[in-house]
Amino acid sequence: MTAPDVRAATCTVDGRPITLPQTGTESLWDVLEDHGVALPLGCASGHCGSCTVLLDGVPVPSCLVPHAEARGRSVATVATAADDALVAAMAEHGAVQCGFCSPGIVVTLSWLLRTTAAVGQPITADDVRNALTGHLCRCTGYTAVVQAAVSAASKISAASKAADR
Amino acid sequence: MTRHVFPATWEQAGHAALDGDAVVVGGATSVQPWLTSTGAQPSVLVHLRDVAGARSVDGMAGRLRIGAMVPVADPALRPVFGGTEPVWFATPAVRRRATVVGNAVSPFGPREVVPVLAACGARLVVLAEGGTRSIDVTAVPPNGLEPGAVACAAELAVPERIAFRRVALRPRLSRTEIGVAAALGDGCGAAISVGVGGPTLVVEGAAEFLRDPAGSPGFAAACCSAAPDPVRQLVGGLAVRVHRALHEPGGRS
Ligand SMILES: Cc1cc2nc3c(=O)[nH]c(=O)nc-3n(C[C@H](O)[C@H](O)[C@H](O)COP(=O)(O)OP(=O)(O)OC[C@H]3O[C@@H](n4cnc5c(N)ncnc54)[C@H](O)[C@@H]3O)c2cc1C
Ligand code: FES
Ligand code: FES
Repeated sequence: MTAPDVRAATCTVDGRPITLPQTGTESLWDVLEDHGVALPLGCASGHCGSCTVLLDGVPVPSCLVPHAEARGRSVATVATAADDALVAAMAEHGAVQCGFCSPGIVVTLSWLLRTTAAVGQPITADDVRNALTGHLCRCTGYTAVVQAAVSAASKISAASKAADR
Repeated sequence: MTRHVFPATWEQAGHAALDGDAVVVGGATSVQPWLTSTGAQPSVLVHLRDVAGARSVDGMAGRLRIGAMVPVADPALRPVFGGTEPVWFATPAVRRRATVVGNAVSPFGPREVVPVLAACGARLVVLAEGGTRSIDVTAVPPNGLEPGAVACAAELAVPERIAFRRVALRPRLSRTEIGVAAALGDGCGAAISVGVGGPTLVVEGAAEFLRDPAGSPGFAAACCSAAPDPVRQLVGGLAVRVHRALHEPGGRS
């Protein structure tokens, strides 16, 4: 006897409901692609971070997630998970070159900013470097990315302090 | 085509795991790359995510019970990792999904959490066709549990102090070549791991040297006698550092 699968095979992607397959071994990345959601795919094994999305609000490489694990959950790609202040700071600091790694990095660092700077916690360059572990960038050497995130964090903290006053 | 089931109880999970060549799914950080890279098509994937109690960490009388879906990064596990998140393990995103129990039973390896668990005297609660049993965390065969078996939880002592030192190419994102872990507390002891994905060996008779602030030479000798010849010197060196860390004021990691 096996347990019945009573769950509807659906999730939301950037707020839009989508139907997931009932069977099969594809990853969430594969299914997103089938639905026209194009994300970079580097290693397909969780090492490079390029395919990172938010699953129920938490960053994860979509290539590591069996599609069925997304049932009943919300998926946010860079299209809705990006923090505007971070994107602007990355452009300003030259933190995007070929751009292959950028969607994943933006998802993770936007999450970091939302869960720290936006609630008044300071962010150091080390915090950013730590968050970038598991994101490979072959072009920038990371320095500009770290500077951009720290700069965005200070703008976000200043804005949130001003709003609290 | 591979089906997916989401049992709500351990009993259902146990039944589902007996189905053909079922594969149990914890955090999926090894399962999904394996499915993707090999094209394997098991008859059914048994997802543990909704099993009642699988995500809980329960503490009682100096012991912890860690449910099968508890990830390595769970803040409730910090005492087991010396008060911090184990940054030597994988990446932040993987640590938030990779389960402690999945690490201990994975046939894909390298089971790098096992030396730390073993130093805390960890045992796994395993549900299989013959019923439920408890096995030492170091006793899982290299190819994993037998087909149809589900590990429901790990049970271990909460250490008063714990230290883990390893030889790896880099502090992060590098496999443990040799590791020594030791913990102070009831039911705690020491363990070594030798070789990437190699076995974790419990160090017999370590507890008396671990308590004694002057017990470093005895502890190093006990670790060396558990280690194979070519790496004895390295293991001895790590053991001295581990012993020192356990007795440093404020040292926990
Ligand atoms: C980028 C990356 C970095 C990694 N770094 C490390 C590292 O530094 N050290 C390390 O040791 N590992 C590492 N891994 C491997 C892997 O993440 C870990 O071994 C992880 O702890 C496995 O846990 P999981 O819950 O994801 O297991 P899953 O992928 O869900 O399962 C792994 C195996 O164990 C079985 N299994 C899982 N849970 C149970 C259960 N409760 N009962 C019965 N069988 C079960 C599955 O059937 C499968 O065979 C890394 C993986 C990735 C992708
Ligand atoms: S493609 Fe997913 S982490 Fe590399
Ligand atoms: S900008 Fe090219 S890989 Fe990062």
